[in-house]
Amino acid sequence: MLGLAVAIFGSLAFAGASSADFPTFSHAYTQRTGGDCQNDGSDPVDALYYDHGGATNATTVTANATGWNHNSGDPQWLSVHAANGGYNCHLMDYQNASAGDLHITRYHIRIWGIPGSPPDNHKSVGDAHHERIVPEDGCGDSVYPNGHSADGSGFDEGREELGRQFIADGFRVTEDIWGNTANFKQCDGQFAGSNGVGVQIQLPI
Amino acid sequence: MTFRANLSAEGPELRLHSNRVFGACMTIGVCGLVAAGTRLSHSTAQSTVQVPVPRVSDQVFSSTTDRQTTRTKMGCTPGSQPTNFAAYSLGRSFNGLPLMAILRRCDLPQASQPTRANYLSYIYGDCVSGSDQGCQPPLEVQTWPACERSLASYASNEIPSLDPPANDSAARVAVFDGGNRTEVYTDRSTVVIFGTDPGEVKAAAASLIPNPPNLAPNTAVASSGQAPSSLPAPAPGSLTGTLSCIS
Repeated sequence: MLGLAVAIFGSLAFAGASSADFPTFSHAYTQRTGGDCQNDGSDPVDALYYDHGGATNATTVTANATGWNHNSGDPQWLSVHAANGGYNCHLMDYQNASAGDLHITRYHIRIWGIPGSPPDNHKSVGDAHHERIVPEDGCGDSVYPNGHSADGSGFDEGREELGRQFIADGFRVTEDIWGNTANFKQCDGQFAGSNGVGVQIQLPI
Repeated sequence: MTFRANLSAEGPELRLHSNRVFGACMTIGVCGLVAAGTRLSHSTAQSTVQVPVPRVSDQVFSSTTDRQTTRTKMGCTPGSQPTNFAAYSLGRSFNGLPLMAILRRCDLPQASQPTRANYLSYIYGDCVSGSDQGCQPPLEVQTWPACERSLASYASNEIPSLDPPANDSAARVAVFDGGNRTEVYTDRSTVVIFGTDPGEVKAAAASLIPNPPNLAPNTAVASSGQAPSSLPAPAPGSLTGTLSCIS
């Protein structure tokens, strides 16, 4: 746990401040490009698999529990907790989707294993979302905007659907507030962001 | 990839200086499309276009009953009306980033979720998205009612306690995610600033302008004045999660 920066606004004394990081398993947002995994955010991280939550098991169990058996989609990167205690920029390990990427609408999640998670509690994280094809102007896949349904945006819809499917299959599912609510402009010009909730799915050992 | 422009206040409208392709735009929507292929900071032939304050994108998903304020939830106001909590912006531009979008999001509370989104957002600067690849604008200022989002919203193992305040009458600031997210707790509001440059996020936190009261979000930002020298301290209970939404 890193320290929390606190400053007094009148003089805005940030001096000596450090920052509290997103839940320590990864950074808060996936990236469209690799390298330093900075400044090219695309999706909020909104799902955590734990216990037997290594990436291979997470993608297999996700396919079984949700029927998201397709694996098409563009690659993304994420800064994940490394075994040496720092953070490294990693290409996604797997992806699961409810249909191919040319289907009119689908649920989709990219999955990253967390190398820094302890041996008795392997973790992976993902960016569950609900997206649609927007053919105009060469757009392509676009996450549903904020206010699309009672669940919220396409990010909230994807996360909630993932959780519901795992609950229906008897898994332990909880939710926590992670606060990563930044908005992302989609290729149809609309904005989508998470409401800041993360779903946590236990995959029993 | 993000865009910024040279902005200067000339009379009642800000003027955006850009290249002649951008200068041909007649509406903010059309300009947005052209800007998606244009790096404004590299423009040469200068021309000028009026940049109006964007319309509010109304992303309120609620029924009539959700307009009622309870102890834990503020009633949802539509984007065409003033928010029922004090909101903040950076005015019509900040550090060369024009105000590009205004979002009013207020979701239906869901029993299955530990929180819901309820904020007014001002987005500064633009970015280029692609298929299956959203993009993050350079700077975003979200204001939430403090009774719905505060430091107490986060798990205790993620957030250490605040340092003692040096000044009882000042707002409090917390920095997250390597400086790419800063939260300012003031009176009955929580202002959450997201950005791709921690230095810019920090500068934005020091430049927040309160919306004039009783104005719709787009009118309010058009009428906003200068940033005050300080913002008030958080309301009692807002940092501990005990602040009632009913004032």
